[in-house]
Amino acid sequence: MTHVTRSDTSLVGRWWWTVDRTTIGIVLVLLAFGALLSFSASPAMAERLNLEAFFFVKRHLVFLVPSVILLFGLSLFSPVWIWRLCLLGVVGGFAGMILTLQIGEAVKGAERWIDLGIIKIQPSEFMKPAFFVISAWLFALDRRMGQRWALPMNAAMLTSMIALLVLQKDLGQSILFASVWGIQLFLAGYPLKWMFGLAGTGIAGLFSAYTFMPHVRRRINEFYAPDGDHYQINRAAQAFNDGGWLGVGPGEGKVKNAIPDVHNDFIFSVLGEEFGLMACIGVLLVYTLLVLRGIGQAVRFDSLFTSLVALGVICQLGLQALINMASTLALIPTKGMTLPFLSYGGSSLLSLAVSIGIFLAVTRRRSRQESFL
Amino acid sequence: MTAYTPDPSAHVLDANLGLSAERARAGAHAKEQRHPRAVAPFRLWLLGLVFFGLFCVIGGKIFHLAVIAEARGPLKVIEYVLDGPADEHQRSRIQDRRGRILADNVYRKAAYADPKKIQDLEATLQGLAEIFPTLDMDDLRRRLSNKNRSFVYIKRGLTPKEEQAVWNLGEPGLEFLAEQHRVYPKGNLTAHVVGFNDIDTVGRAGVEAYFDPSLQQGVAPLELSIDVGIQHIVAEELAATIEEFEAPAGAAILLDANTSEVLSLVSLPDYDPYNPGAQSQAQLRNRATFETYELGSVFKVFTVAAALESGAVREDEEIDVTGPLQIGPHTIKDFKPYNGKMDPKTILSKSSNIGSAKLALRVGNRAQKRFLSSLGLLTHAEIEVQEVSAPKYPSNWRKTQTITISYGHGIAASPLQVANAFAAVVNGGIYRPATLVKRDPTAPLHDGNRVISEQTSIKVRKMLDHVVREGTGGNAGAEGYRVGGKTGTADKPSRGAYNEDARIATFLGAFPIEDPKYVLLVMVDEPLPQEYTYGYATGGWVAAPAFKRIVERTAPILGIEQILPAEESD
Repeated sequence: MTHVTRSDTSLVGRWWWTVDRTTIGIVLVLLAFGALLSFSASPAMAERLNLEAFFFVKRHLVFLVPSVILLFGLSLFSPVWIWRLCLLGVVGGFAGMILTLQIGEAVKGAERWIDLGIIKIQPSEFMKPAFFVISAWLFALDRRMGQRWALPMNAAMLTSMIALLVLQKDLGQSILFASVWGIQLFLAGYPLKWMFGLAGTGIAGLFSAYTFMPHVRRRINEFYAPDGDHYQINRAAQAFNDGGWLGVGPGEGKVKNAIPDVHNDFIFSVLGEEFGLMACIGVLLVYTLLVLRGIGQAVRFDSLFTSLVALGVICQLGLQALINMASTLALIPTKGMTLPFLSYGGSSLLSLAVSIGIFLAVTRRRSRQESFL
Repeated sequence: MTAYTPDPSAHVLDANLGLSAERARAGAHAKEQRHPRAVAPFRLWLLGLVFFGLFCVIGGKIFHLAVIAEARGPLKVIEYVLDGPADEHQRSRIQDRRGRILADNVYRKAAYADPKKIQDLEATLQGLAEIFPTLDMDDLRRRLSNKNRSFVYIKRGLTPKEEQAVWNLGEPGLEFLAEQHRVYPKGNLTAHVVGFNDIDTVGRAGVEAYFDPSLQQGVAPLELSIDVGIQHIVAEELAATIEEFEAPAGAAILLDANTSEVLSLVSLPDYDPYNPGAQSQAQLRNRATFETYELGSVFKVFTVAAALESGAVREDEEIDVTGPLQIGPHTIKDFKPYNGKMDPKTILSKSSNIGSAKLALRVGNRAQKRFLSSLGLLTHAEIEVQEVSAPKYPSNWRKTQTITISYGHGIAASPLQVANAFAAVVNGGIYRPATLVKRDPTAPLHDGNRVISEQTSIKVRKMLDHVVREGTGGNAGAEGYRVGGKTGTADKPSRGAYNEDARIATFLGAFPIEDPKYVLLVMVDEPLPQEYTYGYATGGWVAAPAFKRIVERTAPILGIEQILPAEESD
C-alpha cells in the first residue's frame, strides 16, 4: 500500500482510510508472536506424535495465509452483508453442530470436530462470531424497534446453543457464549436486575453441570483437591518460575516437553518460560489494548446493532484470552480454550480472523445513511 | 462480491427489518461530529474497568510466579530429555563422619532403540555387533523386530567412545538415555558397610539396602559413623594379619565405647561394589554383622561381670580351679591346667575355663541368660545394614550350657554384637545399641540400658588391664597407651563336633582402659600356627598383635593422649 491518498476512492483506498488501523496493527503483533511461539512449542509436540519436527509450524504458517485473507476480506463488507452472512452462518452452524453429534470425531474425549479432509473443523468455533452478530441484531431489534419476539428468540438461540455445547461436553465454550451474550444484554441497556437474574441462572447452571456432568465434577474436584493431579499446572507454574524476568531464551524451555498439547492450551507457559515476565506483561498489555481500544471503537456510531456486534466479538476475544491465561496460571480449573492468535490451531485461527474481520467491518467509518438500528 | 459500495439489496433488507424508520430517525439527528452513543457510557466504562481489572489480576499472578514465588518442589523427570534427568531425583549421597564421600551418583548413557523408527534393521544390527562384540545379536534381532515395542535397551553404561560410535551409525531409531549410576570412591574399603545398588539404582546390600527408601527420596546426604581414615588402618592391619597367619578371613570392629557408634567395620575378604555379581560368596559375606561365631574366652568377661554384679563372687575371693571338672558326661579342662585357687582377675588373665564355669554356676543359669540378654547377645543386632543374623544358642539352656556359654562355647553371635556387649561392660555399665549412623554430637546421649553398676565396670576394667599386663593378652600391650582386653581362641564347630585344627582367634579390648573411649575387636578365622609363634594360633598370638598395632596407629588420630614411659611403669 504505497501511496494511498485520502482522495483515492478505489475500494482499497476507501477501505484503508475507513478501517481501524490500530486494531489491525495490534492483531498483526499478536499473530507475529503466535508464529514465533509456534517455532518454539510445536516441534516438541510433533516429535511426540512421530511427525516431522516442523509439521505444526508449517501448518500454523499455512493457516496464517487464509486467516489474513479472511480477516481483510470480511472487513470489506458492509454491516448489512455481515448480517446476511452471519444469519447464514448461524443456521449452518447449528446444522453443523447437530451433525457433529451424529458423525463427530472425538478428539481427546470431546466430540466437537468434523473432519473435512484437509482440516478438521469445530463448528462451535465458527459459530461464535456469527452467533454474536445475530444476538446483537436481536437485542437491537428489541431495544430499538420494539420487536417483542426478538428477546425470547434471542434467549431461545442461546439456550439451544448451550444445550448443544453441553451435549458435546464443552462447558468452557458454553460459559463463553453465555458470558458474551450476558455482556451484550447488559450493554444493550436492559435493567441491571436482569443481570443479576442472568448471573443467578448461570451459577445454577454451573452447579447442575457439577452435579450431573462427571467430567466436569472430576476436573473441579481435582482443581480443589490438595493432592489431586496438578501435574500440568504445577509444570506451568514452574515454567513461569524458571523464566523469571527475561526468560531462559527462545527454544531453551523445558515445559514444552512436559505438557502434552502445550502448543495449544498452555502456550502462555512457553512464553513465560522462554521469553520471561516482560514478554508476558507485553502480551497482556497488547490484549488489554485490543479490548479497550475495541470498546472505544465499537461505539463510534449511534447504532446499537453495530455497537453490540463489535463489543460482542471483542469481549469474546478478551474473555477467551482471560480464561486461557487464568487456567494456565492455575487461577481457575483448566478449560480447553485457546489463547487468541498465540495458540496453535487452524480452526481457532480462522475463527479469530472471522471475528476481527467482522469487528473491522462494523467499525469502519461510514456515512450517516448507513447506520443501522 | 463487493461490499462497501451502496448495495441495492440493503434497502430491501432494511425495509424488511423495519430499518427505514431508523434511518429516517438517524438522518434527523444533528451534527455529523458528535455521535451519540448507542450504549450507555457508564456501562461501557464498567465493562472496560472489569476487563482491565482482570488483566491486572493475570499480570499480578504472572509476576508472583515469575519473581516472588519460591521454586516448586521436585517434579517428575522428563523421559525424553536426553542430556540427563533433572537433579531432583538423585539418590542421596553417603558420607563418612567427616563428610568424605562413600557413595555418589554419576550419569551414564544407555543406548536404546525404538523399533518402530528403525530404518534399516540389518545395517543397525551389523553396526551394533561391531561396537559391542559381546551382544547377543539373535536376541537383539528378535527384540528389535517387535514393532509393538517402543523401547528396547541395547546397552547400558556406555563409554563416551561407544556412545559416539552408536551416534555415528546415524540410525534414527537408536536413542540415548542418561541413567543414574552409583559410584563408590572408597571401593572395597567400605563395601561391606555401604553395600551396593543394582543397575536400576535400588540398594541391594549394606546401608544402601537398609536405607533404600529414604535414600531414594534424595533429601540430605546420609552421614555414617564410619571414619574412612580409621577404616583404612584397621583394614590394613587386619589384612596383614590374615596374610601372616595364612587365614582365609577375618573381621575387625572399632566402636565408640560410650555412644556405640561404629567407626570402623571391616570384613575380609571384601568385594568390588561395582561388580558384586562377579564376587564369590566368601567375599560377599559380612563377617562382622552377618556371620555368627563362637568367640570363646572373650565371653569370660561377661561371666566375671555377671558374677561380680550379682555378688556371687567377691573381687578378691579365691576359687579352686583344680581340674578337670566333670559335669555329667562332659569333662572341662583348661588350656594350661593349673592346680589351686584363683581370684576372678587371674581367672581372666589365665583364661581358666574351670574358674569361669564355677563362677557361672554360682550366678545360675537364669541370671546368666538374663544378663546376656540385657547385653543384646540373644537377639539379632539392630545395626543398619541389610546383612544381620540372629545369634545361635541352645533352646535347652541347662547346667551344661551355662558352663560352656560361660567361656563362649555353644553360643554364636556376630563379632559386632560381642563388641557392642563388651562396650557396655567397660563403659560404666550402659548398653547402647551399635549404630552406623553418625550421631549429632550436640544432642544429648540417649540413656541406654544400665546392665551393671559403675563399680562393677571399674572392677572389670582393672582385671582387663591385668590380662594385658600379666596374662594371655600381653601381645596387645600398645606402646604409650593403656589397653585392656581379653583373648579368645575357639575351636570351630564342624559337623557336631569341634575341630581342633580350625580356630577362631580373637582379641577384644578397650582403650584407654582406665576410662575406655573405644572398643576394638579383632577376629581372625582359621589362622595357621607359625614357627615364631611356637606353634600357637591363639587369640593372644594372632589377634592381640594386630590389636596393638591398630591402637598404636589410630589412638593419635582419635585424640587419645599418650602416656609417658615413666608413668606407665608404675
